[in-house]
Amino acid sequence: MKYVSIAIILFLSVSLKAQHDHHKHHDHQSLQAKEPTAHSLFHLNSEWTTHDNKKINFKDLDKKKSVMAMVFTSCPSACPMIVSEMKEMQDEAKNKDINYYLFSFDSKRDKPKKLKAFKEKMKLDKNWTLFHAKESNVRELANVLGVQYKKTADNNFIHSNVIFVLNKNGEVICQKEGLKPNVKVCLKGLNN
Amino acid sequence: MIFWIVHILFISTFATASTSVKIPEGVYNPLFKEEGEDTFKIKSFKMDKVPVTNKEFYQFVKENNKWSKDKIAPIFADTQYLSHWQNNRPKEKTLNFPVVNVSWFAARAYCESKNMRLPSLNEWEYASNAQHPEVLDKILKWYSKPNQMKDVNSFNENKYGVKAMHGLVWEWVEDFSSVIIVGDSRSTNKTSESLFCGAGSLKAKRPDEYATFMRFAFRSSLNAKSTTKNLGFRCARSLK
Repeated sequence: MKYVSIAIILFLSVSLKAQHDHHKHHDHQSLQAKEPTAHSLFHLNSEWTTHDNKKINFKDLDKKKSVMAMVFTSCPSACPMIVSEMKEMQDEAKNKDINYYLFSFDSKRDKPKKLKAFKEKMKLDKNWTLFHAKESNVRELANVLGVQYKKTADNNFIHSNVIFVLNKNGEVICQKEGLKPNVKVCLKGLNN
Repeated sequence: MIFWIVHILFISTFATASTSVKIPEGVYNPLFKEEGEDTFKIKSFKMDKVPVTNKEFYQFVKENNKWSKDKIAPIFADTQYLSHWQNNRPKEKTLNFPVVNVSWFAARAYCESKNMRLPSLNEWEYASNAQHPEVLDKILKWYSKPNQMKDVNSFNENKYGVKAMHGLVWEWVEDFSSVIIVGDSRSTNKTSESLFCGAGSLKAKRPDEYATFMRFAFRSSLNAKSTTKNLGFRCARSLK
């Protein structure tokens, strides 16, 4: 009995392994109309879901100027401050054709529904999009941006507070660190 | 019986069975703890027996051109990327040496291509058995002298059956960047204080703490596109 089952296992493993190898070679790279520039964040090939439950790949985000930050909506203090600073930037900027993005650290809790509620609570207009993704995509984005974070024992996140301004090529042209009333730091980048 | 067939099938289907080993579940007690952190329960997982070699990485690059030295986007690696290769390929005698000069992004992409992932920091530390006194002695000896590259298989298995966790190269982990928090969203900066330079080493009272301190400080000095000549990686996979 034992040998029979081992034989079956071996046979099935080998055949499945072969199948697996066969499938392994498919290519994830999709054909793109235009290659991103060297320092563009649009090299990021990662799936995100918006507060409206729409799936979008990072590389397919609008090719226009944007302001972005990484936050989580259960955040007691720092994140609402980041958001209000971004709102201030939006108010001050003469250019009104700018997207405002919030990417959540909190893959577990910040599902689209929760993001939508946060968007409404914070009174964020149609230029704002909030994003959810699985943990590995969050980590990849954070690492591209140089945002450091760590999940704490109580399920919150310690993280660096940085607001980024991206040009239409997806290159970071300005970043504002820390929670200080220096909104004007990136204003020039917004209006250029 | 059916359960076992299914179970073993699953493992053999998705693993390159000969090259990865199953690390049993257990508890990892980290040296540096944030407030509220205690020990971590590590679920059983699979990990490569040895670090990824030049040969393996060369194969990957051939199949995934965007990760070649010429094509890689500068946001994914610094200029030292694969700089030990000549004409975009590893030297013959280094084929079974661990691949180094690879960024976190590239390491991750490699693992993904194998349906795997990078081990978490806790998984890596747990599987390295670094807190065992005998292992510790070796680690400290290794840290104290210049590195020499060798065949990844020229090492003995540790108690979990993995090789060369110490003594060959440092290794990327998925959450390498989560140790030091600068510009914190709260006011706790304890971890960084206990890791950086003088202050940190003063707190490392025992040699085992010193070795761990070295690894944590090294990781925290990296960013995801960093590449160095003694930093490689190996892949892991969760067990379903």
